[in-house]
Amino acid sequence: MSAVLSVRPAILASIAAALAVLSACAREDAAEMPIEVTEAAREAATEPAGQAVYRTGIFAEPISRNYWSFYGGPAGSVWTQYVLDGYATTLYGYSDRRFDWVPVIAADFPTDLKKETVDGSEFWTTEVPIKEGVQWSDGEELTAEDVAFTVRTALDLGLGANWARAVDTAFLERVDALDSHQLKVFFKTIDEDGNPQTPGLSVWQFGLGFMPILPERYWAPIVEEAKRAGEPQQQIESLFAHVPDGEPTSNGFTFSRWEAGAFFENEAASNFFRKGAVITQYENGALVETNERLGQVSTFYGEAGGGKSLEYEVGPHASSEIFSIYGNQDAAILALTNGDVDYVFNPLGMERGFQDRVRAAGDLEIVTNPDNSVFYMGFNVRKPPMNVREFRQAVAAVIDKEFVTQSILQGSALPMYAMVPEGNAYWHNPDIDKIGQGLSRGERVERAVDLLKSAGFTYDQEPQIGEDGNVVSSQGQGLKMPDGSDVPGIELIAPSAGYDPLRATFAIWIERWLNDIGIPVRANLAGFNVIVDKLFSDSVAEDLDMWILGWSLTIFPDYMESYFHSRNAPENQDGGENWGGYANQEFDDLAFGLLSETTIEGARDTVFRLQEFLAEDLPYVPLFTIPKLDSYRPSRIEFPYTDVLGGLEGLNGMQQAVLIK
Amino acid sequence: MDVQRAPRSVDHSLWRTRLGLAADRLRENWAAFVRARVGVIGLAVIIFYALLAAAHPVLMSTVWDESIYDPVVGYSFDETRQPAPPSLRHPLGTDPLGRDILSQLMFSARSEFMLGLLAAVVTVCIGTMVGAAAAYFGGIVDTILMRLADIMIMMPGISVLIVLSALIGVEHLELGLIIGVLSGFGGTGVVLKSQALSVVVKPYIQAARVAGGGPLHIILVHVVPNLLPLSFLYMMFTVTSAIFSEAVLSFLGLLDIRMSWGLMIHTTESAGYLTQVTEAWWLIFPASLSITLLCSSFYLVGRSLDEVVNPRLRRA
Amino acid sequence: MVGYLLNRTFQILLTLFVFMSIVFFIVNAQPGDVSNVYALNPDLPPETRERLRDLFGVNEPLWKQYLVHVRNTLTGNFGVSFSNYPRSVADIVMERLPRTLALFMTATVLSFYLGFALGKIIAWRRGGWTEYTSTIGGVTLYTVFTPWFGLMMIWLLGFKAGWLPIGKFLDPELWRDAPTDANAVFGMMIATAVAASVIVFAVFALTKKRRGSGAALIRIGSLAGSLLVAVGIWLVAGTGYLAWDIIRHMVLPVVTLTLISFAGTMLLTRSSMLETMREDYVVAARAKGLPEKDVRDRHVARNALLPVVTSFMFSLAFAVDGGVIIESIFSWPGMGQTLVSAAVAEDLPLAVGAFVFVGSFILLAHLAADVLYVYLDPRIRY
Repeated sequence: MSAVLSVRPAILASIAAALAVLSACAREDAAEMPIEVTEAAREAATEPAGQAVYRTGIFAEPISRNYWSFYGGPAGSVWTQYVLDGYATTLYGYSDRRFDWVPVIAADFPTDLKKETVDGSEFWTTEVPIKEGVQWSDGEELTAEDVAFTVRTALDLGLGANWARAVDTAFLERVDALDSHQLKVFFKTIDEDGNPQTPGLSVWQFGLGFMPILPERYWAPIVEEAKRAGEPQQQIESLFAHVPDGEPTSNGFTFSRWEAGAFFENEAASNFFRKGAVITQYENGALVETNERLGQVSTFYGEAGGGKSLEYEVGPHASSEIFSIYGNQDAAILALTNGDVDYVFNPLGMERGFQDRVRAAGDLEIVTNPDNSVFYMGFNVRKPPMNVREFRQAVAAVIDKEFVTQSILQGSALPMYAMVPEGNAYWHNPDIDKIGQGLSRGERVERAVDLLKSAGFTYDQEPQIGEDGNVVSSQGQGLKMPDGSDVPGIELIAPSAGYDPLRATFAIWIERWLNDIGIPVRANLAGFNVIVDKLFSDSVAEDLDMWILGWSLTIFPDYMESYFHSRNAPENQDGGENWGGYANQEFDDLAFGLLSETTIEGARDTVFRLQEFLAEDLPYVPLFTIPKLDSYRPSRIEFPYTDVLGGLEGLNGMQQAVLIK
Repeated sequence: MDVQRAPRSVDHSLWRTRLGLAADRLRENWAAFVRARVGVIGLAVIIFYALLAAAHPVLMSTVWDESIYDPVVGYSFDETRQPAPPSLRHPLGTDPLGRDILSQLMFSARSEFMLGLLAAVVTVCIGTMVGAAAAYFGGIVDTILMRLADIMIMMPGISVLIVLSALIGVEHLELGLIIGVLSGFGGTGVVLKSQALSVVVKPYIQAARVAGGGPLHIILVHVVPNLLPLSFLYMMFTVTSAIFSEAVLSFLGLLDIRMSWGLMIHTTESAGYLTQVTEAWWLIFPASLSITLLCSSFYLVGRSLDEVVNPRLRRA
Repeated sequence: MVGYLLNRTFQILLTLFVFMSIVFFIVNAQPGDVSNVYALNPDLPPETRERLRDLFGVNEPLWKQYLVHVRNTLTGNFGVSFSNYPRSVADIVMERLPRTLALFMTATVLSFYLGFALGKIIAWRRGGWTEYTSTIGGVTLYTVFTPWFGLMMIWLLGFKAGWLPIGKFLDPELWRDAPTDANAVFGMMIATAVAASVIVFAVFALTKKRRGSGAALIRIGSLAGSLLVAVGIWLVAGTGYLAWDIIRHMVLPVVTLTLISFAGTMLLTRSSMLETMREDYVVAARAKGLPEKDVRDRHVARNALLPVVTSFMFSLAFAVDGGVIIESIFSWPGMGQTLVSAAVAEDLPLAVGAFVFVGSFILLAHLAADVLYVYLDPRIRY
């Protein structure tokens, strides 16, 4: 019930970071009614809606209101992300539900990359027009200067975390404002070693394009002062230490009140540039945004026509939003069922007990969506026997993911086979090899034994299957490796039940099944810190055998390169995340190609092949993902749609689109 | 009272006399203990849980199928929905992961006892040595040990344990040691020192010294035995705090263990059943009540022993 | 006596120093560091992680970190919290402290009175059923599995009966347009409580020698008077409704805390009473034929109070420690919750700061107990 249970900031930080990309789509849902923005009109507009408060619950304190700090690491918690969702907009974002790449404050798609020589150096350049009439909450125009300023600040100060991802110094040279509404982006054409490079989708479209834009007028003096603070590190500290006061925002909400430990309140910005805009999606794939306020009708991905799959008006329809801060999930859910709040942000996934409670309340709706995450078991492929592909396949074959997820965990988890979750439909490859799926226990054991023997493993005594074919009547004994030596004791390190019952349960069952086929595995259930520390220790190559952890994923699946490219092994790159030391030239070439891929279709093709490759070679055995459940009170609030990858929580609660009744 | 009963016959050897005296004292103390009444209730509860703990391995090897009733990896295939309410097969129902609650409860009872025993033994070993040494040597040894005790006493116990278990991997063994050390060098040591002070001034200690007994010898043979009754009392309180701490830390999800009462509540909590008091009572009450009952029983026994050991509280 | 107190103060300062050092090394002995907290971000470049390490100074050698830590502690500067970056630890402690104090001072005072009153009775009726039931009941509550008991209270009084608000310490809807922030109100509440206690205490001290209904009238009058004045001031200040909101939210945790902690005082009072009852003057008082109640309250209880009062200071200090659980259960954002979340987040500065703070608090309580003891017990003169 404590803070501990509800939230481990470590995992949240990672969720937050990964969701930062997802959050971009939440920014899709925002606009402004065509009203005079005088003080009187503003009051008149907010007066009747005075009661329309979006009452939500969160169960940990946001860290900071400083957006630089939130996006730059130290304050990067998922809770901060929820409350700051209405503060910053981006050039591009994802469309509703379909996750198409669409302009947000950009007036159109960028021009194609072209090689250009400026002042004797060669660059990849592209130009982006910015929409006219986009205003900060204080009524000033949002211009190309603001974008250039934000990029410049991130580059000059060397900001980390998400800033470093958005503003990738390996590729990005600079961003210039040609005039108040025209941007020009300069990418480097060669890398540090002089090899030619292309800024691919992950660098430009899904990288820089998704960077939040902060107001130059407010921040320039503060950044200037920070730059005078001495060492780079102190400069960053100085910037992050600033507590915003009257900072203009651009995504629908402005700060109103933060009572530490109790609640956080934002007010709707009545001049939000998308307020009143109507978003229409057609079944033929076309997408139309009609923004009367800006006098703009934009159509993307085909011609409007035929049946509509979605249509709604952007808000904010709420006059303000209150995030009540609870100490833990129990208290938050209790408050929800009690009627104190109408929606609870729940990044942990709602377990069955909470679902029962919510259902019993009667006036609450539960929506279930796939989540964009993977929980997996990894192998240290540097060490025998984990270096043998058939061994890994045999391990995968005996793991009955359906049994654990459906019977034991009662549907709290969903089985997974590909490294891209099914919910991420555009990028998910459904036709990969699903080793062991649908087999009975006996068939699994048989398959595993066959695989092991085909690779040269031998038994003193093979495992015996009981008469009904579902029970291992005697465990395999004396499993020997192809070179004749005994298979050594293997440690499977996994989170303890205290940290995550789902992964602990999987670990215990995997231990049992592997022991059945004679593999001497011992599950070591440890604290999260202990596992992470082991993965990041210098001796990871020697000490690690097998481990179970999870990743929150991005929509664009370039993470496969981060996890499995040999250049990301810790021995090749300090802090690399390919802990298992997976190294395969063919895979490396494919994965690296993804980074410089500039077309969506080409990227998809590569992503599909990467998934096929991984499903067969199995440096990870993907185990499961969790369904994302959201619950809200339909008698009080209404969302334009609720079926979306990552759920309502993944969209930060759709603050700009939610209707308050 | 029959304190000074004479040996029953002359041919009884000395050890028999001693044994008789000891038995008499025990009987007398038992009478005082029983008179305090609350201790007996506590003792009954402790025995009940000890029986539960002892019965678990027996049940597992006879009537309970391991694949169903194993407290950690068992799974009840008969129930379609987990957690299942109590039934004939599962007298206390199953947990959210389909495991038998009664089996978990009994299995955990054993580890609670082991944990309590470990913490208590460590406390007593350290406490008596610290108390005896401080009293016997006095001076700088006393000062150092007592300042150390001050620090230990001032350590915010729960907070220390939370920090430690969040930062390093803590299981039952480490927990027992930490609690034992905290208590032994801290409160227990101080109390035993004041008791030891009244022992070291006794003439026979002086005599032993004159006879050339080394400090270690004197402390172990003459001082420590006199501290044992009182330290036994403090063992009870240590057991209470060990079980309580384990429950709280497991509940917070900070211990790397596979099963315990606290972890049962944690499982209930993380599955979201903690506030469903009437709907899922079997997930909440057995473990919580067990923790409470066992903790308070050891405490009550300790209090009653206090009545026996502490002369000022004895009835006239 | 001054010499003794100086000596004690010195000892306590020394202890604080050792305590602080131990805390630092315990916290630093753990594996992992803050950059790992961000490690699971797939897209975080290694330079960034290195930069984070620099940012948090974890790349410095341990002894250097320790020296910095000592200097900072002495100047009350515990550095910057990792998990609440860039807020300073002192700032966070200052924010949470009033909340913890308000909650635990109330609960400790209540449980102290309850415990003392019950202890008096059960010592006097030794062996009766009152003793057994209250001992067993008290001890059960004293050793109850706190999270469960807290939840039962929430479920019963908050959820089923719906009498009391659940979770948090204020109602956001009420505070949206509040003219002041919660901590200002907490501060004023504590100030009011302290002022009222000082007045009442002074009146009691002045009427100590007087007997009979007159004294009682003055005492009750002073109590009611200071209460009235307090309420009046709050009404005039216009923030009374905010204080009332906080008080409403405090009831549940305070009742729970009182119930789980009164038995400590009760049992101590009992032992202390039993020891005092053997004193000659008690026997003499009884022999004189004084009414039992008089003997109990005037002769025994008053003298038995001594060790109990000194224990009060400790219980206040340790309440902060035990509060970790209660604060978590009741969503009360005080020091206890801060410590737990800091520990879990591996927020070293905040964990150290909160720890040293709790330790210092307990040390101060030790010192206060010493002073009180010297003052209260005429037999002790140094």
